[in-house]
Amino acid sequence: MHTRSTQTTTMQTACKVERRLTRLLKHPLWAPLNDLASWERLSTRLNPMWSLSSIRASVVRLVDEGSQMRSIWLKPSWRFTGFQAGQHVLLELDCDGVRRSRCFTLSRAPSPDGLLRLTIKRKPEGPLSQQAHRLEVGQNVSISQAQGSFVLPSQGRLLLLGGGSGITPLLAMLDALRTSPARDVVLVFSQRERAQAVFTEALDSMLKQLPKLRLIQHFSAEVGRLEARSLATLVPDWRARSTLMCGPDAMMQSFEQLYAEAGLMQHLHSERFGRRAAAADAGASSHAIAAEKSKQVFTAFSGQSLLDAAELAGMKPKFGCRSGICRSCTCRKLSGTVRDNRTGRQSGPGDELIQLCISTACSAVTLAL
Amino acid sequence: MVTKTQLHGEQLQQFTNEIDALRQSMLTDLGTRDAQHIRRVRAFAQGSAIAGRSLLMFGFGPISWVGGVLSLATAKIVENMEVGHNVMHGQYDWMDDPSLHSQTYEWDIVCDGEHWRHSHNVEHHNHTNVIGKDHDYGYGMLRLSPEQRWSPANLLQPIWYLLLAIYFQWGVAVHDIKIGRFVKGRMSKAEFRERVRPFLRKSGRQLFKDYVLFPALAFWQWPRVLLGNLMANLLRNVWTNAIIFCGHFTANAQTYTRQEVAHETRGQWYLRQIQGSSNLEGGRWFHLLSGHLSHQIEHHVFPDIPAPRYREIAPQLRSICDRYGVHYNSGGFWSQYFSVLARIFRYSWPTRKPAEPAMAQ
Repeated sequence: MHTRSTQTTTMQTACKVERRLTRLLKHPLWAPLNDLASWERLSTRLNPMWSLSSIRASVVRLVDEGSQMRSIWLKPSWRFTGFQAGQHVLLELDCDGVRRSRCFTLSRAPSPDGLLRLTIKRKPEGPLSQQAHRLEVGQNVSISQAQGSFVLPSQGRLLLLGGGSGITPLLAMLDALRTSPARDVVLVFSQRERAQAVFTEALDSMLKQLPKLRLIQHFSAEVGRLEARSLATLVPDWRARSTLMCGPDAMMQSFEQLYAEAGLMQHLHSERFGRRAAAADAGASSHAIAAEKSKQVFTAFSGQSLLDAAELAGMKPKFGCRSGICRSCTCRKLSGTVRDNRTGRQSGPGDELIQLCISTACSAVTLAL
Repeated sequence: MVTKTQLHGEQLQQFTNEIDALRQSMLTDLGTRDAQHIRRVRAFAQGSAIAGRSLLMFGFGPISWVGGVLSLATAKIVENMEVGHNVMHGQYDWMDDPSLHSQTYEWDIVCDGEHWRHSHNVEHHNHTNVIGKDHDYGYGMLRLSPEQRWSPANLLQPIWYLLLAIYFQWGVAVHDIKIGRFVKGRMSKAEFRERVRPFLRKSGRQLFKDYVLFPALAFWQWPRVLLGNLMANLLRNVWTNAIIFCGHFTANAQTYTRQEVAHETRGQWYLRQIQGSSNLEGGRWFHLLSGHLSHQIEHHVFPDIPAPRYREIAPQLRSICDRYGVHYNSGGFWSQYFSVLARIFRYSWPTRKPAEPAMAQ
């Protein structure tokens, strides 16, 4: 008893010493010698993979999957600590000078070769997806560690519901299931047109390797949208299965409703990507503004600056000149559209820095305030 | 002296629109080129600092010492003027790179970043050349315009100016503490202490770096490093001071009174920025080493547009000014700097306040 408590105290002291030491080493007094970002600029100049703070990955192969989808095979540096099928990573790219990052699913199960596969759909309004389609073999990108809790349950029968590019995490899961071919799995995959079907070959080979996999293909151009109501006819025992779902918003909502009504929400795991930005509505007289850090919601009138609106709501954002010159009120907008009161120029719907004093809301806006 | 141009009504509106359009055309064009520029310049400054400090620490003989000093001074000049000053204006915020974010960037100078953002971005850029509101006008110690009250201390202002040039980074560092207000009893002790703290923290770190840490790392070569760092800081101080004084204190740079700017529109703000600033002409390296403050006029009209763009828009802005009859103050370094020195000498003597312009009639 006595020795154990001594051990714990020793451990605690060791932890404390380590913490103090790290703090001392990171102290600005030693700058620029302990400036990690500067060292990193030097090390990545020698070898782009030698990053001290982010995970670098090199593009090793590019495969067109059809229907504007492209698979990017990446070889990550040793910093990447692995993932589970169904998880995603943040991919960071330089899009015409702007650093952007977005979540993309790893569309392949972990494998001994250590390669990662991201399958990315090209979207005309998405600068990052377009830049990803411009990547070439040999280029380097930054990724995050794997994130997300959308992973396979360890046992039980499974129902996988995929719509469009939402098939990607499910593909990784099927890939992972090859090690346990006895698992009873049904995949319902909804796509628009048969002629532009994606991953047909991959799914065919899965069918061969997984004897207990049943594939139900749905083509909405032929038979209309996949409705939650039809699930009972497609998969009669759906209530007894753990369900994993990823697809377009409308589809996910209809299935969520079905499961909620059946009281089976604990069986349903779904994966959503990104924030859904509210559509811009120039005609509305006021918009709801959510301040994420302070967990406040307030109203901003059309034409009123977000700085004024936040102050009227009792918040105290940093400000300076109040006329767009000094940038003191620069703030991260997480989603929503704003307009520059001086020039009338409208922003994009996504994540970017804005000046509160000259921005007025054009839609519901979320700020990192 | 050139007279001040005022525009009114429709003409002022057109003038404003033309400048806004120029700004918009630049904003939509920002991209890879600008990102590459700032990253390259930062890499250059970093490389130059490493080379300079290495030469001072490990070199021997006077030639390597001079080389080290010049290299370190160049690093400090480029980091302060082209990287630090411009990044802190938010010129590269659109890149969304946390290491180039205006509100968190910290530079290699004794002035605290947050103090600078307030005294420079908020006060100086907003109230440019408004006597009594722009604390950069004369830095509280020099009389450069007949609008400023004369005091006997001004007789010695050429000497004050020489000292300011030598210790320029310290002048900038204490600027936002507003010591004058405290001395006159217009600031509480508690607020004064609050304002002094960031200054002490930042300057302490800088002093430790240049005069303790790096000399100590050179062991027996420490005197060489210490003197070299002192010299590099001095060169940077004198150079930045000369460039900055040419920005607003040349012969034809206008001053404004509080009454004049009481109900100013954006167009009138543009007019004041243009007529209160002056440009320097020179080559590519001259512009880079001045942090493009050689394009002070463009910088004051568009403080948050990446500085290398100033060179591209200068001809367009100049042609707008010509069309509206607004004086565009530009000249070579020496002629502009001599006119600044002349102004320092002239106004060290008491001069009569200029007659009020015949506005009432």
